[in-house]
Amino acid sequence: MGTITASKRQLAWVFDLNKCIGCQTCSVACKMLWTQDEGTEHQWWMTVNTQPGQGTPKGWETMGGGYKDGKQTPGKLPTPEEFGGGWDYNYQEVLRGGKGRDVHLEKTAGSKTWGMNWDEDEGAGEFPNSYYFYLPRLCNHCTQPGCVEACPNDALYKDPENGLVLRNEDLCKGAQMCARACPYKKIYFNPARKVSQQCIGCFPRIEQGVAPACVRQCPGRAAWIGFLDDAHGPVAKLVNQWKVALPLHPEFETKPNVYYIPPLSPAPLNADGSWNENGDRIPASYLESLFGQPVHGAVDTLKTEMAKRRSGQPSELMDLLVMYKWEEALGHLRRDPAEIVWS
Amino acid sequence: MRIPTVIRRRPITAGVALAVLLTAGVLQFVGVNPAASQSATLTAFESSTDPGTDPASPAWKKAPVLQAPLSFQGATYPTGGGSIPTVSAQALHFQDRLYIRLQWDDATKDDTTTKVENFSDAAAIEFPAVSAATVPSICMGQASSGVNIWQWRADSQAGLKDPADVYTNALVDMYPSKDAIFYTARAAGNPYADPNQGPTQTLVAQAFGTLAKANVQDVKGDGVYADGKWAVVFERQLTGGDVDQATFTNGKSTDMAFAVWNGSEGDRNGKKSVSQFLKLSLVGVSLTGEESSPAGWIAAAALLVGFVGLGVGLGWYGYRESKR
Repeated sequence: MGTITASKRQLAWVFDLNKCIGCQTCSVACKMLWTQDEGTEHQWWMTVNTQPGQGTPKGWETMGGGYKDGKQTPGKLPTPEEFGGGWDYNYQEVLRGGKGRDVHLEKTAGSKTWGMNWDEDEGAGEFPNSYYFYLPRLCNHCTQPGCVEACPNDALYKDPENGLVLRNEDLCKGAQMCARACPYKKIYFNPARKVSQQCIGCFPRIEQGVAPACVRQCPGRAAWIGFLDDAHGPVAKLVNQWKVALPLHPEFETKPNVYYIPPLSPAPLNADGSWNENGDRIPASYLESLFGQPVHGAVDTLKTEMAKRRSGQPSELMDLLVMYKWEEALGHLRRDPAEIVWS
Repeated sequence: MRIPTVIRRRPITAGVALAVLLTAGVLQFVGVNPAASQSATLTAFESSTDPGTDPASPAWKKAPVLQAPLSFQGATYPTGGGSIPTVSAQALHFQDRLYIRLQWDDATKDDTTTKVENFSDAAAIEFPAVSAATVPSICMGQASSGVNIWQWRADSQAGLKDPADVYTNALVDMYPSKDAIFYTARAAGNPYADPNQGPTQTLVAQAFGTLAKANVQDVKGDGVYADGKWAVVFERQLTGGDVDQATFTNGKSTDMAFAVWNGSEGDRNGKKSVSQFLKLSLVGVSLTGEESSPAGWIAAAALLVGFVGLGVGLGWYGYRESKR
């Protein structure tokens, strides 16, 4: 059984769900950088899913894993069918087979019935009060990582310098105990290398002072990276000072280090078409199911600070969230990767 | 004059003892143990022909079989196994090489690990390292007494399956990084990740969680699945590649344990069926593979004479005793 050795410092991500537009630039940036090789075709270390939704893999929130009252709870292994994959159409038959007038385009046999972003923009709620928002997810590089403790080969560890959860791929034997233990189901199996793999936090970039691809490439200025103990950095300010950035599913007890600014939503419409000024279109109970009780305080703080700014008063929190200077998102990792000669 | 009882009995006692010794000697010579199920020793005779790694080689026909009971592994996380109740083991040596053949019943052939929920059938043999100060713990040894493990895996033998079988329509125009360094697990030397490793891995361990690739990968092996049974042969030279490995000497015995994984039961890692420590004894006696070899006939005749002698002796002894 693996041993969790606490790291000296902890890198953390913050995503502002009010600013994420679901463009998947982070997903593709990560894909281009890390999972283009043989055996990684199906792996999406970074995903953005529409909430409410079943996400990636399908129904991951109910697959178990993590801890319960401090004791590890084994979850289920997410199958390739639950991760889903690509599909193809009968182009050949329709476009080149001379049957274009009789046969319509349809998915070919063997096409998956789920995929990385299958339930995009479906959301929930009844018109005109339907709602959704986007949830970018990557390995949470947890402080209490169930995967590290579950590994019978001690292949996983927390990097002592930055707290990233990394894998010794020479020790991994594909026992899948990590994939079972991870409650966020962010661990993939590489069938060509026979080892499991997950987000490595772009550690080779971080070692060179470059921010992870998902953060650096975000066009919506919705992502931050930084050390949690860097009191002057935006991450620590949002998480510790303002307490508006919250971990996802804290009840899994793995102490994740990816934090989210909860989404605000417009007032719902009453049946007569008037605004219900006291309500939120995204039910507070749904946000609580994702982020726990503290989400209510975080939403209140956001609303208060937003109102202050609207009335012309200064608000450090709103300035932080607006992110006037893009480099602020990158914390101490501002180096341009283009200037590095990789050897 | 009345002859003292002790002197009268002496020729009979001596005859019985002689018959017992003769029988035992012949049994030892042919490697047949009348209490085989109780035995914990597998005798490796010298083979007259090279058995190779083919489990169907005729060299195995005459080799004595040890039925090793297996059980649930409950000593360490992750616990499990127990679905394979027994493994049949045979051993031979030929020139400077040792051959061990394992056979067990398994209703399913599990040799594909493309999906995350697939696990492979496998088998392993554990020996004390030549450098072990004492008999190591059967549970992966300890710091001063390591173990040498030979593992055969069905999925490694079957080779890499195309991931596209599972992840259909994962269309790839090109792989940008075909250099070996980009195949991270392979580049890191993980034997399981290396498609050129073959079906067997030579491993060493000094405690739980320390199992690692041996510096010298010198175990060869092959497995065949037929009629609901796996038959696997391991082959290695008698002398280990380094001090972390086991070495075998003619005329000596060593400890040995087996493990079998049943992939369809989710066996992997510690989830496996395991045996206790058994003995592997190498003897410098040749065992011919021929069905009607002269040595076989001589042994059989000697056995018959021995058993008849034993029966007659015991009968006579009983008769005499009843007359007293």
